[in-house]
Amino acid sequence: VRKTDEDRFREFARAQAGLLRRSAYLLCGDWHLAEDLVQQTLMKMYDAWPRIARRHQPVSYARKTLLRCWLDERRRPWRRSEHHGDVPEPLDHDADPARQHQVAATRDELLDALAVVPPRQRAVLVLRFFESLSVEETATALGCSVGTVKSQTARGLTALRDRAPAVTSTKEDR
Amino acid sequence: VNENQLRERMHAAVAGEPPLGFDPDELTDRAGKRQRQRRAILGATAATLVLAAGAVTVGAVDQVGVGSRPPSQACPQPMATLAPTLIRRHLPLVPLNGYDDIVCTEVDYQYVAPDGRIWLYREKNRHDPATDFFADNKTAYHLVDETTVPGAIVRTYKEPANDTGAWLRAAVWIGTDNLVVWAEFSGHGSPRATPQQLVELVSDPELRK
Repeated sequence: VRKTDEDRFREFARAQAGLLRRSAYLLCGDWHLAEDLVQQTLMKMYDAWPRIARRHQPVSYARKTLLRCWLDERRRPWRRSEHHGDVPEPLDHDADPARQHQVAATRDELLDALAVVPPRQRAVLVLRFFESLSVEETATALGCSVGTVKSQTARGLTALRDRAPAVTSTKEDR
Repeated sequence: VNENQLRERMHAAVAGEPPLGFDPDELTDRAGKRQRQRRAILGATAATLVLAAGAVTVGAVDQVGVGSRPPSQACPQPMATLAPTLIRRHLPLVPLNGYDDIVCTEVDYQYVAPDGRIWLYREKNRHDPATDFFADNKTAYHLVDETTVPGAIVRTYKEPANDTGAWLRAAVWIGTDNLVVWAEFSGHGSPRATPQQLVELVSDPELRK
């Protein structure tokens, strides 16, 4: 990677690391794993950066790579083991404890509900409702058809509704 | 809760995110270092493979070149010991006290030239070709016959009587195992050894025990 390319990558990494980590967190429900996934993604992108910068949309490419890293991660044997509890997030001592508790409860409820949604459906939900991608953009990111995105969205929402009716009771995806 | 509320909940879930646990600049440096290391390893591996391939190629070329043949098992015993028996067996007309003219030796080296011709060298590290087997008319010996025997090819050569009236016949046993036995017989007067007798002599298994 040439110096100019490296500078552009550095700029990209600075700008996108946070956003990628948030998406990764909604996918995996763990900030630490989310950081690992983002680092894996960026490391992979660095190797192919000159090509990515010239021929692809780097943000779209990063999203796709992140999803693959996460799906690969889920296939690893040690990830199949049962999940027993979470490491508590550090508290913000300046915030209102009641408000903090409410935020944490909402987040946990959402993450618990997302956790029962199959991985690819969860990816569709995150891309469509968190990253606000269109059906077409989601299909491109996941490398599948528009019809698949629509059906996966509908199934994902149904799974969410079954698991936690309070989280969502949405109209059918069009 | 509709899609918009789901969207809001997702954004709310990541709102209180902890600070980034890694530095993108440091990650970029690490990625660059890793790429350079990997390229160095790949380069070294490729260089090693090229060298190994080169060594194998050179080895293969050397096998058909000068000096490749392992020490021969042919003529393991001094000719003086073998000769009386062998000469009596194969060259009955040769007087026992005259076998000094007989030379039976292994040929130290054979060289397959790029054009396919086989050159034999009688002495190690000495480039004096005993003969060029495929250019018989250009050497001292004239190819008379080529006989295929089990495990070998035997070629017989003759040189007509020269100015001194001496004549010479030779036979070379070229084993498929790369062993070579050379026998020649020269003398004056009428020839007392036929090419066939020399073939039988160099084909005698006793020479390769």
